[in-house]
Amino acid sequence: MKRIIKFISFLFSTFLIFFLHSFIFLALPFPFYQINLVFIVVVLMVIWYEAGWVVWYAFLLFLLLDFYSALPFGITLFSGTMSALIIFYLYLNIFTNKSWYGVLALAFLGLIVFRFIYIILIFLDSLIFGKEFGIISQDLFRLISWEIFLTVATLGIIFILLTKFTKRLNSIMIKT
Amino acid sequence: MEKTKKKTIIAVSFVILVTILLHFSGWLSPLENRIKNILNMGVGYIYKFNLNVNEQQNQTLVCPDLQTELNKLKIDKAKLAIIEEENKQLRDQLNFFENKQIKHTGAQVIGRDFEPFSSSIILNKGLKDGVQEGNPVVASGGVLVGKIIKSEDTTSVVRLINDNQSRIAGTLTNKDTSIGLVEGGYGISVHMNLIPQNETINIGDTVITSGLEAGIPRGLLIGTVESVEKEPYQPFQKAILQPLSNLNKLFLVSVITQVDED
Repeated sequence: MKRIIKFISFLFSTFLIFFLHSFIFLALPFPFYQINLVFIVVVLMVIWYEAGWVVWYAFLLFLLLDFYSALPFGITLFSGTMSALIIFYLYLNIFTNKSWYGVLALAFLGLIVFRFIYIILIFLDSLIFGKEFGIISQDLFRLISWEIFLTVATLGIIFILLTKFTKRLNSIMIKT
Repeated sequence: MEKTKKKTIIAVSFVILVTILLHFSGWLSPLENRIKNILNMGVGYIYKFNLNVNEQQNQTLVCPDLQTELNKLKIDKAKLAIIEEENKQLRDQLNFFENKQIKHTGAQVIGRDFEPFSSSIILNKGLKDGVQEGNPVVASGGVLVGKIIKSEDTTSVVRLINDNQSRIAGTLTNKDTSIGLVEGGYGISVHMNLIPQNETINIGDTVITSGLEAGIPRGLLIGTVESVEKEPYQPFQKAILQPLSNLNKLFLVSVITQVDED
């Protein structure tokens, strides 16, 4: 019974995060729709659960996002899941202290890795299939900067609020 | 530890690659379609809700005492405005296609794609309805809004004309009937490039499709010239366009599935 409840809540939370992400993207004005909620959830889950299955959960979330992508299938999925894996390793080996600045640095680096892999894959796609590679421009870097700034800022606010209500994210409570 | 990391990275990459292969081979389609049907309901509702809220925000508050009544009326008015707009769009689309040798199918916008660097919409029609990659998509009055870039069984993705990867052959309705390339800029702007320097462009000139692209008939409206960028050392001039359709509020569109070349 416990497993069934866990499975249902897992599915429910996945769809809920997806719909919240779509709400932010569709309803908020520029530049606020650049907030990457899926990424915020992935970073928070890595810190909260400290478990490898979070990477597979990220895989599922980015798979759903890929269904709504105008780009060739797999670009969002690969760049998202790989950046989740890198975030997980960075958390386990470098940003281990659960401090607010560590969390922000984790999200900052994770987003840079995410967009870096994303652009490389679009470049490879245009190279292999002879498409025009028109994505690199000043506007792109402006949009990426907005995305990083707003996502990291939102994550920072959520993290600070969470530390007020739970001890699990407190830096004193690190498991050794 | 390093070995475990390598193994994990390889395992994750392998699963992603298998998923991509299954997707392109079509084996994943039944499951994908079921998940998409569930997601489309929610995303469609959010998209429509957003249009509704925008409509309400356009109306101003008059009397604080009648707040509740006013809010209810505002909701009704917004709903009515949407229905009226839908009706107008459908009538315009019918008028446009009358007496034209064009096969088309009506479609509803059920959402936008979630890529922050592109500008695309998702339609509730796909391969089963004859919608194919490259088909032009028009809004009311025959205004071109984009081209189909991805078509699946029951849904399709339209790259809007303001997407930075959008390229459409256009013609200006000036005395030179200048030909150029209409390009988008990250959902923010639309401009027409490659117009020869010696040709005259006037503010307000209309840009239409040139008919030089296969599958896109000549004469579909794109936009009007808002400003012109002309540098003496450049071989071409550039016209900044104002699209004739509000690309953020699309709800009903038509996909041109076949053009009779006669």
